[in-house]
Amino acid sequence: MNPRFSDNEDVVMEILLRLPLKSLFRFKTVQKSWNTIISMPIFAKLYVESGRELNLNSDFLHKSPIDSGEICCPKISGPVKDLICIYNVYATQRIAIFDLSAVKMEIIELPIHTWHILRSIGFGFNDRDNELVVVQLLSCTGGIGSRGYIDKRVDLYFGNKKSWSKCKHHLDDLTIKKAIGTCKNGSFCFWLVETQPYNSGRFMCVLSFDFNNRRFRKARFPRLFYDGALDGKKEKIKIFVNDNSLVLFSYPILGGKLLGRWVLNVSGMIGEWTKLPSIGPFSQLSKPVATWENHGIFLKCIDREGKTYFVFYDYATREIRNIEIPRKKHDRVKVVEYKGNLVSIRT
Amino acid sequence: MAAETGTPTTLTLKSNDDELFSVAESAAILSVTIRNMVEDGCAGGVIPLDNVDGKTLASVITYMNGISAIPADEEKKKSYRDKFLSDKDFETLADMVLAANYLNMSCLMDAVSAKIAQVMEKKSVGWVRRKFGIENDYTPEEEAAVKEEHKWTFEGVETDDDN
Repeated sequence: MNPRFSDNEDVVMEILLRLPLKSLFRFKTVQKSWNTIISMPIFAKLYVESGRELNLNSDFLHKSPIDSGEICCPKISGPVKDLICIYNVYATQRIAIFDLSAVKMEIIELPIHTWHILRSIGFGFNDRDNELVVVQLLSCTGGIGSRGYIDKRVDLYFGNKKSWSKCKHHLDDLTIKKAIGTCKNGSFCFWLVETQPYNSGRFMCVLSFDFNNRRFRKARFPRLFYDGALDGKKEKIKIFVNDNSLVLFSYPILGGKLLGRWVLNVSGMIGEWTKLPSIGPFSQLSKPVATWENHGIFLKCIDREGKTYFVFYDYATREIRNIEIPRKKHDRVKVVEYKGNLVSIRT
Repeated sequence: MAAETGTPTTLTLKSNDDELFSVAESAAILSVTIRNMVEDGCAGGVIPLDNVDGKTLASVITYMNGISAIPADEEKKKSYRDKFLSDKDFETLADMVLAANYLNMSCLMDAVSAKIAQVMEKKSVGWVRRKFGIENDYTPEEEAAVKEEHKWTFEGVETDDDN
């Protein structure tokens, strides 16, 4: 090391303590002594104490100029390119974009509307100028429109211009059930939706938004789940985004069986779902909560006493491992994505 | 002492390249190192600062005078520090952080460390090695292994601007 800095490792440490995690991980490759400093337990301790840990203040989710008595129901979307989006399903006036690597939070004001609404948010990037785009889907829950449709409104937020604009759509016959997420390259995001064609039975499908062409598209489920299949109430389905494909799991409501697994390549949302080997069997009631790339899946299980616990299932080894998640009694758990740890975890 | 006579006491500081600087004691004692020397009674003549060169010391004294002229208002002090550091290049910042460490000036140390971190945040590993004068002591295999473990952190790195 340059004599100026080599005699002053404490100065190097002072500087490193002020870097975002992403830079710290990268700079482990600068020199062995840097790797040593960054990997020291005392460094991690000081780093956390310096306040750079993820401390998400969710107060902003509760503040609403329209309706102060609303229920708070926060959702997390992402991460996509190190960003996560936190929003409220109900009528709050702002969302937060949180940068995991820089540990910075940006609050975005939502366009004012007067409906009583349910909100779902997706976000991604367009390839051309790598601009952050947020899609807001609003559903009117109170007033049913003509012909029994539910009114929808779609707004797009453009990160470079920092402004919202209303987007044309043909989504009025859909009910948004759940946001699924964004694919890894950021160019598509997905929702689980239910369609209600005029005078016919409902069926579930996947709605995608293409950030490059600003276009919505629908993809049906695997043939097995067409039409009434899900009304039988024996199996439920759960969909995740893995890299740049969608993976669908079907799981028995009563538990104790194998989980079906299908994948669909998301580029353009065309083609058929491919059936993959089923996973399990699991002894208890198990519900998929998150996937880890192509390695495996996290499941929430409930044992005979009604206690909740989490397991990880490895696709390759078919091994089931219990996972301890530190949390308070009423905390909700959301699995986001694992990126790395500052200090090596000893097993 | 200043309090007794009513006139400000001035100290003379000497850099390691023998430049002499006059500075008000009230500003100079922002440095714990200098304050200790004053309290120990070593401040009668010239205070030698063996680890700081004239150019850096001049800069540090500008900072000492500037920040001590601001009343106890953290917002204003912060904006002074930001402005003070805004036009400094990496070499100057490196000299200053080492000087601040030697002089034991925590407010300058905090500000300069944060500024350096901000400058290097998106830089490549090669840039950091050059700027810190660091020799890579990994074997290619070892380096590849550490890099592989944190592959995602190499996305979005700026192109080097120093060569």
